[in-house]
Amino acid sequence: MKRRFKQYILRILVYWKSEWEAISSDRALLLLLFAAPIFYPIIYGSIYDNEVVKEAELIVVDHSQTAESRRFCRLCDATREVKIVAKKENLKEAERAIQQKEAYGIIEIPSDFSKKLIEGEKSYLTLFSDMSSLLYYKNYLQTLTNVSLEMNKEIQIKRLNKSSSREEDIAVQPIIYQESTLYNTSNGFGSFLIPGVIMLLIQQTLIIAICALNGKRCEENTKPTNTQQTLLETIFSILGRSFCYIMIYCVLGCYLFVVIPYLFSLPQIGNYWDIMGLYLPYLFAVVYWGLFLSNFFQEKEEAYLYLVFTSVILLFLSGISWPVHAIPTGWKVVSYLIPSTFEIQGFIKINTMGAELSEITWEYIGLWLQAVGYFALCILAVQTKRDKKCVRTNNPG
Amino acid sequence: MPSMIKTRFNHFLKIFYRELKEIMFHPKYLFLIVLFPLFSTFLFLTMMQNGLPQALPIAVIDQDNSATSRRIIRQLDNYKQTDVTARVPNFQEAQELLKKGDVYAMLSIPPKFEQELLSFRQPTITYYLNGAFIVANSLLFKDQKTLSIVSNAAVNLELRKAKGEREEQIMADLQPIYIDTHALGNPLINYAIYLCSIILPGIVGILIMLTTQYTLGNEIKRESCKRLLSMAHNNIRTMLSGKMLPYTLLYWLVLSCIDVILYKFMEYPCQNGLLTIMIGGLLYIVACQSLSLIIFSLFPSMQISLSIIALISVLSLSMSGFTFPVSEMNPLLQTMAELFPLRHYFLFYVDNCLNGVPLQYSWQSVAALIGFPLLGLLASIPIKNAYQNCSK
Repeated sequence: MKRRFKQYILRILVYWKSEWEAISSDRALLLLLFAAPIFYPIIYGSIYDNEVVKEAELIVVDHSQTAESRRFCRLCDATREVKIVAKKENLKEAERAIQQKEAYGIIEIPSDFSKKLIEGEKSYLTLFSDMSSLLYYKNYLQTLTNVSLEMNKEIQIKRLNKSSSREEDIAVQPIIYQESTLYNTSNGFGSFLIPGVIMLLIQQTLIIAICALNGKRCEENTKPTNTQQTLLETIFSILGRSFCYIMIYCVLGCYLFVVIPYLFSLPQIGNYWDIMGLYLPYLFAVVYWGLFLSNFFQEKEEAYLYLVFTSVILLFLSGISWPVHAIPTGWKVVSYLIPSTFEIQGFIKINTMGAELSEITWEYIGLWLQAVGYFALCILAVQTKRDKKCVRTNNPG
Repeated sequence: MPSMIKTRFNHFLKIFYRELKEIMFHPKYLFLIVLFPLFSTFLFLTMMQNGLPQALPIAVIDQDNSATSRRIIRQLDNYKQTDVTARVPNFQEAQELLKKGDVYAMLSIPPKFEQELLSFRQPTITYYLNGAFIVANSLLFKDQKTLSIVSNAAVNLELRKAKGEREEQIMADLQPIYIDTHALGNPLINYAIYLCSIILPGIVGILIMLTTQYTLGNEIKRESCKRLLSMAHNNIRTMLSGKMLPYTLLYWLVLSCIDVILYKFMEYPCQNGLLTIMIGGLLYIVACQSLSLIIFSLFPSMQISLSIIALISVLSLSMSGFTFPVSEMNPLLQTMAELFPLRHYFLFYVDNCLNGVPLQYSWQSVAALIGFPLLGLLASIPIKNAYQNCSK
């Protein structure tokens, strides 16, 4: 019994080793499995390094030219979000400046601005915003709303003529609203997106590499799973091959979860053990998914052609950007078949929001179920495809 | 001279037909050119069918449980983007829901809220948002801001009505300055419009670059490159144009179909007309093919150049600046962004679809898109060498 067990281990190691040899002798696979996970997060980190839009350029068209209108502009200019770059005589000129990309928004102050304020009427300011980026629009809206709220308060206090400042305050604002953003406190774009991108990168590089390698073996007729294989041997080959990829990505994981967040000071309050605890089933799920998919690839280039564009789709299905609650049920079901969906959600909850493994059982169990399911499918695919050979679809035309 | 042009054109036609036949007989191209782009269009349009996400779940910690606190919660629940799905007794339980992802935000009303309000002690309501999910966060933020204005106004209104003041006067007093917003070209601030109009051409671009890479490399792989070159009588430009044009036309057809779906059926804003954006699409497709040619000429093996183009093409979505503006990136990346066709297509789209500015203002993006094929001409020399030296 003991001897037989030793033999089993040996068989697994043989597959493990041959997979590693196949990878390390192929430069394209090395590029995909090592260079991409190392350099891609650095590029993404640099793209979003500024995290938020600062000093979004705004043009003022001030028809009023009074102390109040100038005060309003000064207050806007003083914020971190908005910078007033020019004053124009009329809307036409301002629009021309927008078309030449000197600014992304216009605020128009009507000529009766101060008059209405003094007479106790409502005064309308108009904001025009270019929609080339929602982040500019957000900055303008937020700043103008805040500045107008502040000036509103000043004006109300003047109108009310209350005696003490405390009394004024309460009359104007009976309830205080305090807002606080948890976890990604600066609302930074990089802190929000990069964790998801890293996780997706792991999955995509892995499945493309696995499918490309299988396609290559198919072309060269050197598949490790051959026709006369027993069920046990199939299991050994799948286990051995998967351990090779998991080994590589465990090492990369240390870089991706420790070095990258440190380099770009991304929020990280989760426990490393919890991160690794979720990462392990993710790797199993991804590798077995990849090994299962690889049965459909007969040419190494197909892996790139068919799988690269799915990255964009899978990022959206994961619910990191488009909220999960807004995804239609049909697509939600589809997304449950994909490991990155659970991992991205789970990882953000642990890493960014400080959840423990016990708080994300849904994702954790989901990943293990996927791992087991795809492992079974792997065996099934190899066993049923026994007599089929790789067909070279690539005859010269 | 004209006869030379005629023979060249004949060579070109021969290669063109050969490539068309290739595309027809390999189902691979049906997926790459037609099915994947249309599937993506279907997916994104069905996923974002409601425009902005609505009824995002939030949790409420009502420690007061008075008529006023319940009214405020009801008010918040009535807003389109907010849906109060959980009422919990304390902060810990709310935070658990937040961590599980069941809710995106929580509103906390302190004990004795109503009592303090009526005795003018200015109670504080705290709203906790989750910065880990930015889109949901900014949508909820808007509702919360409205709530704070409206509920304060409501209290004020009642207090001052009791003193016998006129309602219109009070309302003008409460919000003397009002910001009227006009989002140019996208008046509804519909996030879907924004995403689909760029992501879908982005996906098409990824597929174009990969297909170009594959079809060029495949000639070397199956050792048919020399024969192909001789069909063009060793004129590499005739060969490349004959080989590329079928893909240009087919992808343009598909991208134009997507344009029709987006701008005609979905009625997304397209100020300067469908034809303008379709022409922009054609320039974009040629630019993508040219970029792919350049990459192909730089790397000797198809699999390496495929890996490189895969990494570059996926990056183009971020580098186009449609999510995070390019002007906020560091100067080196700003320069790099110019190397991505999608960046210029995006600028072209903003000018012509959203802003509707006269066409001459987008001369820069048009010039940049035309620049890619000009650079691509340089790439033809190394490609010729590679094709001549492949065995057979």
